[in-house]
Order: sequence, then C-alpha cells, then structure tokens
Amino acid sequence: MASAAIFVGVLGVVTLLSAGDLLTSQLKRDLSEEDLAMQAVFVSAPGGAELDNEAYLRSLEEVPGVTRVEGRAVQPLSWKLLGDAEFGDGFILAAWEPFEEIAIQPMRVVGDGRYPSAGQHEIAVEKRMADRHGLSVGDEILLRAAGGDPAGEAWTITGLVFMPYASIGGMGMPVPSDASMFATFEDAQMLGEFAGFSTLYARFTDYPTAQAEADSLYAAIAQETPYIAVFGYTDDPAESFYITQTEEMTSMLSMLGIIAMIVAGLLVLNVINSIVGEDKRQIGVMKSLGATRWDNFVIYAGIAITFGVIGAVPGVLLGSYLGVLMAQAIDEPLLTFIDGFALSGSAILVGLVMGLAIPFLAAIVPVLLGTRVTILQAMTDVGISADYGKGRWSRAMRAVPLPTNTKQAVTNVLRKKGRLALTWLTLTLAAAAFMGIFGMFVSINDKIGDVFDTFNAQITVVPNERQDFDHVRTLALDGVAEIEAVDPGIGLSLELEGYVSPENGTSQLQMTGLAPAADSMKLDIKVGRAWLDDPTREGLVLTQGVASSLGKGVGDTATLVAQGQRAEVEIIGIASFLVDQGFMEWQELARLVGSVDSQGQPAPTSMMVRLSDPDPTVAEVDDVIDKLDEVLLADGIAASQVNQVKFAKDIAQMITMFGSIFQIAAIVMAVIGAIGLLSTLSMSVFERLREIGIMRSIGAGSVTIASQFLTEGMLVGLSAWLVAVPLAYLIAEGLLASMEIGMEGVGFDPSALWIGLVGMIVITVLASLGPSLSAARKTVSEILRYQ
Amino acid sequence: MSDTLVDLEAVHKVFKTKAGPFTALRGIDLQIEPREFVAVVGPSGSGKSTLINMMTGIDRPTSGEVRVAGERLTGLSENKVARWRGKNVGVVFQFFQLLPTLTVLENVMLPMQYCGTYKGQRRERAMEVLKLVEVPETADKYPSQISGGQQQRSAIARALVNDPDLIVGDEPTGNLDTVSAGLVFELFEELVRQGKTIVMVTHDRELAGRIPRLEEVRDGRLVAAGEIDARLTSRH
Repeated sequence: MASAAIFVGVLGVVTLLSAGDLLTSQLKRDLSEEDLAMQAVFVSAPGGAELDNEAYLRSLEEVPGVTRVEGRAVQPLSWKLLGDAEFGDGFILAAWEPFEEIAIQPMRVVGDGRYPSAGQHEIAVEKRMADRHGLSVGDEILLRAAGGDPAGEAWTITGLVFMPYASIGGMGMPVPSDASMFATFEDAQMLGEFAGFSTLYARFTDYPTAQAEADSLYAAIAQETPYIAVFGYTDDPAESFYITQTEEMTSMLSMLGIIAMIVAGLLVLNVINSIVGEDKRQIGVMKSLGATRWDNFVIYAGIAITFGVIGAVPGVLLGSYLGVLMAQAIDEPLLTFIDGFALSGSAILVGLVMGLAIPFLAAIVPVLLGTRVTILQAMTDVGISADYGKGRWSRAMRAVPLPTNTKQAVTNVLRKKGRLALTWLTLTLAAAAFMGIFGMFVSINDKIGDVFDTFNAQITVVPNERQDFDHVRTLALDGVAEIEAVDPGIGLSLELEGYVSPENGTSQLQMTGLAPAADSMKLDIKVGRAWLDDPTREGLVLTQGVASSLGKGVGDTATLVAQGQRAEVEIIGIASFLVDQGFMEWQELARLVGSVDSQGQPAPTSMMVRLSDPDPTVAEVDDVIDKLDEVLLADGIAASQVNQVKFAKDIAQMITMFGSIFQIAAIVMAVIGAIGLLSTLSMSVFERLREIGIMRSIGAGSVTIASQFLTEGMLVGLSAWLVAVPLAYLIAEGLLASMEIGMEGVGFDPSALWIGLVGMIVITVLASLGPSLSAARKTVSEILRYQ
Repeated sequence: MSDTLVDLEAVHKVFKTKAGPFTALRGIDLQIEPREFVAVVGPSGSGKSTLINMMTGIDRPTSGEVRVAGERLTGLSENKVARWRGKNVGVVFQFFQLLPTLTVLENVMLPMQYCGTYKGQRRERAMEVLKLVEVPETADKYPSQISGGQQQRSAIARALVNDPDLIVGDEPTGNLDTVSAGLVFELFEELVRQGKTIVMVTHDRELAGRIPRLEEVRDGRLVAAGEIDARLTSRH
C-alpha cells in the first residue's frame, strides 16, 4: 500500500516535472531575449490604397525610445500537394525586411536549403508542415492566389524553416505551424492580394520605455500611417510570456505533484507507524536477545526505503514516458514543439530523491518512537488498552448525547489523533485541490460560453484589406445559399483616457464596432438601455471592469483618442463580458478611427456571417467557409475566415485539456488520500480486533460492527470536506491570480463543492468499505485465537 | 423438554494449524443444570477455554452437538449466535474487557442496545445491575478511572444486564488481587443463590474447592469426578 502511494506520487511528480522541464527548456533554446518584440500591434490595412510601407516603418522608429520597427504580413492562403483534389487552408508569412535582415522574432532555415527569392515562384515551408506532409527542398506545391488561376500555380520549396515565435493571423488567432509557408513580401502580396502589414513589431531601448511609450506608438500608428491598430500587447523579453506562461503553468503542476508526493509520505508514515505497532512484541523479543534501538531502527527504516525503491523506480520510468507524451500533447498551445523522445534529468533526479527520501524521512519519527518500547511494555500488552478517559476530549465526549455506536466511532477517531491528522490532511488537501481546480475551470468555461453566446454568428470574415461592405455582403448572400445574414463589425484597439489596462498598463482598450439592429451580437446589458430602444443611438457601452476602472457610469462621458483627436462619447450602457472591452455602433466607430473604404465610406474590418441553420456542425461551417472562399477569391478578395463553432469547441477542448491536467494532479492526491484512509481504517480494525471480539461476545451483529468503521471513515471524510471548502475557494483564487487570468466574473463555481462532496462520500465509502466488512466478518473465536 | 441448561454431546474440536491439526476437545459430554455453580479447572492448554467457548457459541465444535438454553448452537449463523448470546449468556473475561471509550454505564447498556431489549428503560436497568454488583458510583466514569475490582464488577453487571440464565467466566478472578477476587466470588455465589447458572474457568484451586461442582479438563477430556476429589483431598 505504501509502495503504491509512493509510485503514484513519484509518477505524478516525474510526469509533471518532465513535461514542464521539456517545454521550458525547448522554449529557452528556441527563443532569444534579444529577438523578442517588446510591443506587437496587429493592424488593419486600408483597402486599395497605395502604401509607402518603408516610410511608415521609419516614421514609427521616430517614436521616443523605439530602436526598431518591423512589419509582417500573415495572410490565409489555399494550397495543395501536386495530385491532391482539393485545396486546403494554409498561411503565408512574409516580412518587409529581407529574410536575412529580420531582427525581431526571426525564423531560421534548418538543414539544407535557403530562403526563397522574389519573382521565382519560390517558397519556404515550416519544418512541422514539411514533416506532416512529407515535403522536402525541391518539391513543388500548388498555391492559389486570390483572383488567380483556380487550378493553382506550382511553387518550389527552397528551404525548410523553423519559426519558434508564434505568428498571429486574422482575429488574433495563432497560425498553426504545420500550415505555415514563407515568401518574400512581394510574392506574398501577389498571392494574398494585399498591400499592407498585419503586424507591426517594435523594440525599444528597454522594457520600461516600451511600457511608457506604448500609447505614443499607437498614436503614431494612427497619425503617421493609414493603418488601424486592432489590438496589441507589450511583453518583457526578460520575462516573456512565451516562457513565463509555460513556467507558471508547469510550476503549478509541479507544486501539485510535490504536494501529492508529500501526501504519499504521510501515508508511509502511517504504514510504518502501524508496522512498528504490530511488531511491538517482536521488538521486545529482539531487545531481550540483545538488539539495540539502533538495530531495530535500521530494520524499520530499511522497510521504509524498500517501500520507496519499489514505488519510485517504476514511477520514474513511467513518469518520464508520460512526461514526454504530456509535453507533446500541450506543446502547441504553449507555442513550442517537442520533437521525439527526450528525458528530463532534473525530473528523474527529483523523482528518485523524493521517492527514496520522503519515505525515509516519514519513517524516522514512528520508527524512533516505536523502537523506544521496553521489553516489559512489549511483553505485558494484554487486553484492551484502558488509558482513555483522562483528556479533555474524553470529558467532552462523555457529555455529548450521541448514539453509542456513533460515539464509539467519534472517540475512536479521536484516540488516534496523529494518524487521523495525517489522513485528514491528505483528504483535505486532495478535496480542496480538486474542488478549487474544478470550480475555477467550470467558472472559466461558463464565462467563455457566455462570450460565445454573445456572438450570434458562425463565421467571422476578416478581409486582408478593408473592403466595401455592401459589395462583400452581396457576394456572400448571392453566392452561398446557406448564409442568412452578413453583419458588419470592427475590432480595434483605442486609447481611452483614464483607463489603465490590467493586462499591459496602457490606456489601450479593445473596441468592438457592431450593428445594434442586427442579430449577430447579443450584449448582456446590466445597466442602462444601450441600443435596446434605439439601434441608431450614438454612444459607448463599456464592460463592468472598464467602467469601474474609470469610476464612471451610464450618462457620464468617456474620452476616446483617435487619430490624434479626442472625442467625448456618452456612456449609454454597462455590459457583462469576459474581458475589458468597449462597444460602439460600427459606423460611428469607423468614422472615429478613419476606417473607410476608397470612397470614404465607413468600412468594417470584419464581417460576421450567420447561417440559416442556427446550430451547424464544425464540418458544415467549414463547407460554407470553402464556398465563401471560392466566391471571394473569384472576386479577388483574400480574407481570413474563422469558424466560430470550431473556435468555441477548440477553446472548450483546450480548457478541458488544461483542466484535466490539473484534475489529474488533484485526483492523484485523492487516490493517495483514499489509500491513506483505507490503510488507517485497516490499521484501526487490526488494532481493535479485541474490541470487535468483545462487542460480538455481548451481542453485536455484523451491521453494528461495520457501521461503526463506516461512520469513522465518513467522519474523517466529511470533516475533511468541510475544511476543504474555504481552502478550495482560496486555491481557485490563487490559481487565477498566478495564472493572471484577467477575466471579468471568473472565480469559483460553487457547484464544485457539491461534486466534491459526492466525490468525498464515494471515496470514503469505498475506502471504508473493505475494512468495515473485514471487521464485520471477524468471529469471536478467530479474534481470541489470533490474540 | 429437558431442564438441562447446557448440554454438550460428544463434542470434538480440532484446530488446523500450520504445524498440523491440533485436537483441543476429544468427545466431551457435559450437562449442566439450572442454578448450578460449576468450576472448570485444568492445566494450561488442556482445553478449558475451548470448552466454555462451546457453551457461549464463541467457538463451534468440529463434531458433536451443543445445546444451551434449548438452542442448538451449531445450527446458528455468526450473527444469530451473537444476538442469542447477548440475550442468553453473560460472558465475563479475565481482563474485564470493558470498551475504553465508553463510560461504565454505556458499557453496561451495550448488550441491551445490541439485542433490542429494555427499550426506554436501559439507563434504569443498567443502574439497577450496577447497584446489584455494588459499583453504582462508577457509572459515569471511564474504565481507566476505576480499579481492577470495580472494572470486573462492572463487567459482571454488563454480563447480567439482559438477565441471562447462564454466566460464563474465563478466569474472571485471574487478574484481581485476593480481596477483589474474594468479593467477585461472593458476588457469583449470591447470583447462584438468586437462580443464575455460573460456569467459570479458574486456576485458583482454593476458589475451585469452594465451588459445588468441579470439572477438570486434561488433554481435551473431562476427568472423572472421583479422580478430582482425590487430588483435591491430597492437596489439603
């Protein structure tokens, strides 16, 4: 039993530490502090305009503190292997600078090969895309340019590229590495039918300057360029979120693993305690034959270490393997790539040391105490121990009006306070961790579900350049029968005076422009009427967090800064939403930020497409996206399209996956806790065999005996659950704080408490059942003979 | 129907041990009538405790029949025997064996709770028997807070509380000083006078000599009454 607990504990520690170590080591190998962007701004390019990108970049480098600005384009692209029937989705990534001169978040050629040259129909592919599709240098693939030959054109692969930094596509979605291709900017423009950048990367003299001058950079983008900042982030290269998010997550997992290991140590302590207790006579006999206390110590400490070896060795072997699998399973959302099998030396070392040291350390106290028994004490142990009744507990229990059987259960639990404390602590920690993690993830899931419920559209279309909305809508409605409506939308980042972003400390607020009369967005308005009475009403709806940050409410005025001009806008509603956000009628917002088409009319940066089928499957939405892609490409419009149904499922899946990893750590503890309770009650049955015999001899039946032990188990379990309730809340809050999930309204879902209670009852009943039935099956003659 | 309270017929008991089978009782025939006071004596390992365990249903014969108070014990399940024993037999142990986490009163009330007797009057009934054995002052104390003699009297009270006809003691005075042992023995004599039947194992030849009926067990067999008398006489 003790070895099983050590095995489970070491397995958890090594799996979690291995995964964390492999992921962070890989990230640190791949990412360079000198290369990371301090400010990334995702921009929307104007449609049909002549752009002087070189001039824009140089003017942005004039912003105080800026040392370098680079421009990138990440655009969707249809591609297929020679001989394939249908085109698939991919992305073309291009930098304004020549490949060799890219200084911010660069890619690198791996193996033989080179970067592609302009005008030669040359392309490079990401190594993971090459691995997935069996591509190599010299191979040809077919690419379909917007408005070009529907059959595609052959492009030659000149090199395989490894891109360690995440590339963000339309709608802020990370581009999958196994669908990433690289071309010169000119070739990419031709393939994707775009003129401008989608991302601007900036480095400053140092990170504090980057924070201080972020708003200046946004202002310069608005004033010096025709681009509109859609959203952005600041990142400290020394503590890049690329690495810290992985380190934070894996360190939390490791902590849970180590707690599980400590809990396993508590169980070893219990087991050794009982072994020494059972062997009291044997210890007495050995002492009478001349054995010293040290001789006995060596024997029982040796037993503890043996438990450790039996549990630790398979735990380390299996944990190392599972660690690699886990790292490979979660490498993509953590923006890295674990290739092949690798071992984590530190995880193996920690697993072995903990697997051997913890049982030894846990055994010291019980072995020292147990071997202190004198020969006389060991030989005169007869009858039921009658030392109960001298403490405060016993005096208190005398006055408590409980049924005798329950009273016996309570007092028996209290008689073994040390052992009880360990088992109870195990169960409390396990229950608190389980409920805390579960409650937090349920809450996150609910809130994200609310967000998806807000958007009543299945596809989001982001044209590579701003397009005439009515034209695109007509194309979509006429060309694809499944589409019921196309509504305009704008997503961008805007300065709101007085607002401080909890994310990056700037005044940039994410703004969404919507069509209030349309059905594509259903805001949950908590205060004010917003557009409920008048869909044409001018004004601003803020989320609760933003309104609190400003200290303003409905009827007050907020100041937005756009294109260097300050605009006073009335707050017409407060909405509940997951993250800080502002909402305006889309045309009002478009005019404010200068998002206009070539005729000067308001132009949306995105479009929300609603299908006739209100509940389509992922595949059905994909089919519509393919059809819409055909229609738009045929008209020379390249656009990113996001399958919102798939997006929602992916998010839910990712949350479930991360939640599951945390839950596994908590379940490991729960299993160890159950083993602990099982062993505690088994020991209790063993120690109280004589009592059971006496109870039977004066008329107690099996049910009476079994119910007493079951009651003991339930008492321990339920009291552990009670204490775990506030702890679970604290764990959820602590995890949210350490994971820096700045989501409005996310906290601890109380439903976790009831699930935890049911789980605790199941665990305690299961753990108590065996010892209880074993106690009930004892016959008086067996007991008397055994004793 | 016979008046015999305890009736053992050709009782054999063989224990299976790792060293091979061990025969503890070899064809015991024993009848005990109501209101008898019987001492069971014999050397260690002779089978005394096994014999009285047959009477209480604590152990079962390998062959033979055991009838106590008209009940054929060999046909009852472990649970039914427990209930039957709680109502019909009072068991007194050498080391008292009071449950340490319950007060004396609660210990005495246990057989009534287990057997469902004296509902609504259990506390009064327990106090009644504690008075009978002359330790009512121990009622609210834990076993650890009273003397060995008081513990054994409390244990006797527990054995008496369901008013069984038969009291079986396995060396009930073996762990008491002479004065306490004498008091417990006098209590047993009084109980017999009140109509109880008592069977007790003892190593104390002097006490055994004061008991009207003596049964000696040697190598799993009962020794003939004449042989016992001769040995007791030769001692004195």
